Order: sequence, then C-alpha cells, then structure tokens
Amino acid sequence: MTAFVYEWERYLEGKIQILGVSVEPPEEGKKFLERVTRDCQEDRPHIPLDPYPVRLLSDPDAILIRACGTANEGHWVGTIAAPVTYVVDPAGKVKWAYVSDSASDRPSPVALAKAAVAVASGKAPPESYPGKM
Amino acid sequence: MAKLTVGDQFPVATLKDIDGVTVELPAVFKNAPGTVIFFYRGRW
Repeated sequence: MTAFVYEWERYLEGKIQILGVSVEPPEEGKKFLERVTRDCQEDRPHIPLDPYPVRLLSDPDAILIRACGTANEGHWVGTIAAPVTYVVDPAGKVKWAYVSDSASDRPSPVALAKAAVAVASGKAPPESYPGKM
Repeated sequence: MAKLTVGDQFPVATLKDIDGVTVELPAVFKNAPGTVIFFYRGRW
C-alpha cells in the first residue's frame, strides 16, 4: 500500500484507478483502509490523501482470485489471495504484472507507477521497469 | 505462479467493494485510463 503513497503525484495526475482484492469481508477492509489512511495522515501529512485513494473489493469466495490463478489454497487461515499486482488498460487487458514470491515481495513503487502511467497514456510499460512473472 | 499474465484479458467477475457497491469486472476498468489492481492476503 505504501507504494501508492510514495508515488501519489503520478497516480493522481494520471487519473489512475487503484483496486485491491482480498477474501476479507467488507468490514475488515474498512478497518484496513482506515488504518492505512490514519498512518498516511500521521506519517506524511503533506500528502493530501483522505480518504486513501484505493478501492478495496471483497472476494470472500475467492471467485476472482481463483479465476486469475492467484489463490493460495493451502494457507492455515484458508484460501487467500497470493500477492500479485497487475496494470490493466480500459479494455481489461493485462499490460504489466508482478507476481510476488511472498507478502513482503512487492513491486518497486517507481516501477509500478511508471508502468501505470505509461498504460494510462496509451503506451507500453517502459522496458527499463519490467514486471515479474 | 499466477495464471493470468501480460496480454491476457481480465476475467469476468462481480464483487462488492467495502461500501457494498457492486463492481463488475472487467467493466470497472473503463472508469480510468489505467488501473492498478493488486491482490493481497488481508489482515488477521
């Protein structure tokens, strides 16, 4: 989530939409978003992000998660989403992807923002900032 | 390894956001010139 804070100017200027998907019920998603928004306000008050500009989606039965092949079926809490990040164009085509090795392995904030801005501009993601599959 | 990869069409699904608003995929991608969508495990 911090990737979006670090590069907030690029996301706002590019009018880029940010969606997050997990199996969590909506009430847990709300708590998560409130916590992240509060952290952002306390840690980086110069960044005008209230509410935090991420729309969280609840996929309790992992329907989309399984359709994308991103389900971690063997986790001790049950089926959850494996950490994967995509940049998608308005036609719904995947233009950039980063498949993480673990929850702590996330794309570089700059790489993700540059890929998203390029796609939003109708261009291919820069080769100098590749994703990971 | 994720099944969905670069060049693929995002699958069809109907979800709700945390405010209870229905979200249709891939139609929601038309709302912006570019979308970042990330999957996360959630907190517990």
